[in-house]
Amino acid sequence: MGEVIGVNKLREFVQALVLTGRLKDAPPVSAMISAEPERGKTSIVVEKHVKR
Amino acid sequence: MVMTDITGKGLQFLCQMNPRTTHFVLNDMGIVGGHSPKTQNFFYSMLMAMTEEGIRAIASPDGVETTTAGRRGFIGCITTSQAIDKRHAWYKRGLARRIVPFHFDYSEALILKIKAEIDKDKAASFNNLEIFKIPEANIFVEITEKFAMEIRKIADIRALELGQLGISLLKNYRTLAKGHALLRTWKNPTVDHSDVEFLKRIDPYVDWKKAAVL
Repeated sequence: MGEVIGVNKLREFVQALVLTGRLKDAPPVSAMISAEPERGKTSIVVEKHVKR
Repeated sequence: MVMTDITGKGLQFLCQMNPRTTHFVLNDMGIVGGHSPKTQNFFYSMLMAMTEEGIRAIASPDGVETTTAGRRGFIGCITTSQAIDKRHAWYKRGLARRIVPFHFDYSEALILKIKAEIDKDKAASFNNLEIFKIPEANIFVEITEKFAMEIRKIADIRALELGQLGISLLKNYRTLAKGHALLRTWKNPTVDHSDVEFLKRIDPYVDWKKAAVL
């Protein structure tokens, strides 16, 4: 299977977003990922399992 | 935690049951749109409470239920047309101001590249077994004045474009920069040039109306 291409900025955004939930002095940031269908928005958001 | 569907009551329940969950993900906001207006209104009210002040005590005929974990984040996925339809209602409620939009589209070149991968039977794979590690404890991230000013500039210009005062956006941009710093290190993290560059990269996508090309 190939590497997911062209979605690095979205991936970086989602990862930074999730980590805002582990900041001492700021509440987590919320976001709305918006795109037309077939753009892989859901896939990127659910592609990884978070582990502590 | 990834959800396919959720109601306001469900959100209260999740906050109680999962004190360490940082974000709830709703991977298709269209499903929420399928509920009755009453159910949708209750969901958005709870969403606002959860993201702004945190869901605390809920009094119901069953008694008072308390939640101690405070504010949570939310990540929703929505189609462009649905986001445009909902935008005015979200602005009225104050929800649009609290949530950072990431509005994107594919370039023609990227679509061709993806199709070429499919032609070769190398269709994009999203390996959902991959692990993304987050720290157990909350971490303090410092921002020096120099980088605070740079973030302020980026946020002010974007707020002008969005027609907002920019107070919430500035707070969100600063927090995102700190979150990005945690991608680099969990040991005495400080926001640096690379975190500001990250904000510059994602800034064009922070728009409810217009998609930026990936």
